[in-house]
Amino acid sequence: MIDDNDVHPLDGGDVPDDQVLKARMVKAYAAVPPSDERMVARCVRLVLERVAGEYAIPATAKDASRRHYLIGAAAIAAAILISVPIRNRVTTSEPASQVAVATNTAIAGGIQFDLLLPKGLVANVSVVGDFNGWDAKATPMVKDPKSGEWSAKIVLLPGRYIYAYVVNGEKWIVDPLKPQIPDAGYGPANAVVVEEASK
Amino acid sequence: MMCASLALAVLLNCTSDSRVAGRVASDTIPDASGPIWAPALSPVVQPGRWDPTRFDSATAVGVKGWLDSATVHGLPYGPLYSNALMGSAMRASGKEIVNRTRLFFIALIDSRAALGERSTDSELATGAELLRAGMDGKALQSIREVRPTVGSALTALVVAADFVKRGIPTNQARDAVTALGRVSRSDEGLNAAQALVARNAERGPGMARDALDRYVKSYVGGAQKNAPGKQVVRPPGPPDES
Repeated sequence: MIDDNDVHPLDGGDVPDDQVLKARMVKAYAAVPPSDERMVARCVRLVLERVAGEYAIPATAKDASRRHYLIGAAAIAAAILISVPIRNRVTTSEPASQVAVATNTAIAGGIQFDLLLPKGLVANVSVVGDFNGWDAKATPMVKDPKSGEWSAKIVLLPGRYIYAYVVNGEKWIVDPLKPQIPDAGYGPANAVVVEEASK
Repeated sequence: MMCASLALAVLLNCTSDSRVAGRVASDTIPDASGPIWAPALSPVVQPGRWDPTRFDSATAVGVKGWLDSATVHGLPYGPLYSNALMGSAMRASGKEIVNRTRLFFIALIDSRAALGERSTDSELATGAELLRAGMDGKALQSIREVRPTVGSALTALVVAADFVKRGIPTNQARDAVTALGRVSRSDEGLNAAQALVARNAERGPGMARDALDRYVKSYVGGAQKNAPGKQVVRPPGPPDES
């Protein structure tokens, strides 16, 4: 059974309506890694400059066919220009694997912090907070080679603790879903309550 | 012909360049996963010991002055020192660190006045953060009233602080926390409300406010319906309903 979406409009099939075409374009662009926007802009500018240069030459009978190619090149450049915003719109909604996911779990006498980050971008992660004097070297997290999850277990007395994660020694991130403290002017941080063991 | 091929070459170059750039970006950062998967259990850390090397000399003098004042006034030393260390770790200027330490010191005094002398250090610190975020002392008192025992107001205060951080107005945050706290001694309702607000806040503070409002109404309403001794009145069903 042939899926209607598999029939290319130029292969003799029915011309798809706008919605189908739009969905197919978005799907195609989602599959391609995003280009650097400045690079695309530079490429487009080069093509347009070249086209403008060609048009500056007085047209003769011999140039008649050449002009068609020039128009084709301009159309491709315009298509790139139009595609950039579409592509950007697609890539702004990051897939789940590109988003940091953090959790903390109460363990006997303390808390286990877990952090899952996008692959290939992280050399080291540590957890900092008022339990270690906000020292990024004090509590490095260990990476599970299978799941790629970074973890650290810390023994803590009952009370409230403020913490954040430091990625590659410089980027501070917080868990968006766990409780956060009102910004004291330095930056965001999470809060966790360690309860009495008997509670 | 030349231009068309140029355009295609340029298009291909753009894609291949970006792919190469992406690969280089990810390859140049080493993957330093540990050889053994076993997060070590770090011991209890005592960060409260004064370490002047964490600040420049002028900042150290200023911060130490406020820490000593806290000790004299019987205020918790740890949260105040931690606040200054957080500023140092986040590379705030010395002047800013000293100023924020001073403001936090003042907020701690007000927090103790509102929550009571017997409050825990964590309660006082969270209360001070709420005061700094715009909540007033009476709001803290009302939270204390629904959680009167020592240490029991901590989760309520942490959840209130989270609400304020996510754009819930202080009045609504106070009303929600006190309403939820009144229903049950357990903090389950408060924690569930925090999770709900955090999820909805990603779509904007308005969504978070609406979600909190609905949750509080349903939680409190459900508790009233299930209250012991209350007669359950079922709405009449259609005639053909068995």
